[in-house]
Amino acid sequence: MSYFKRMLPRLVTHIVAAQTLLWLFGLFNYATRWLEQHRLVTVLFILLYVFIDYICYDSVAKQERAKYDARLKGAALRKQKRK
Amino acid sequence: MQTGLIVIIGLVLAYPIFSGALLRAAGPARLEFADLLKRLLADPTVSESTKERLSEMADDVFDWKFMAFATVAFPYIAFTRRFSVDLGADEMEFMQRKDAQRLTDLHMKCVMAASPFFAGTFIVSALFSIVFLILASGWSSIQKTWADTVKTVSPKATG
Repeated sequence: MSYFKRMLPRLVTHIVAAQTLLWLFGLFNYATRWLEQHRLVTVLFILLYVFIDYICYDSVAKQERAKYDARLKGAALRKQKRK
Repeated sequence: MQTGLIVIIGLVLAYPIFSGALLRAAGPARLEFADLLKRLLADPTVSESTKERLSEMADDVFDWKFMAFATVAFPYIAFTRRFSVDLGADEMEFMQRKDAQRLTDLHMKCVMAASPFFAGTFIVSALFSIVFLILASGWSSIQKTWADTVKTVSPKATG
């Protein structure tokens, strides 16, 4: 569940930013129409994206975070806000 | 058009793979950043307010939101030259140090690796600001603008 908590805000922000870019390039209406016409492809695409994100990004981020936290251990951080 | 859309879908699916690879590639820079940060936090010549700001930077390196905020904040700070007001005298002095400049460079690399998409949007928006800043007053202004962007964005992105 915590994966979805981490992933959803990231996904939503990226979708909004991508929509803005599509809109800037005049492709927004076309892309929306295409996605509506190919709903099954859209659902499969989202599921595949989430799967790839979990395997290739989230797990790497967790490993890298652990290494970084271990290296930073003992640092005299002020106003600690670390989660 | 259909081919274009398939290419876009392919690129979107490749994005998490690329992000993960980039995050891994930035590992050595992140560890160097951690070492340098630790050293500066223990340095008695660094002021307490600067150490507070450095502490805030510690969490940014994995924050994907940072570059999204920086995309907007950096050009604003560059054009208004707000860093001359926002950064105190001790922080300005600190920015002259070689290790502080190295820390700023490493911080920039690490936060860019945390969000390649927003790093792209940041590069586009920063490019215009950088040309403006170089014409106006040189490379040190870019580092000061970045330092002020970090000061502006850090509490918002991690809070």
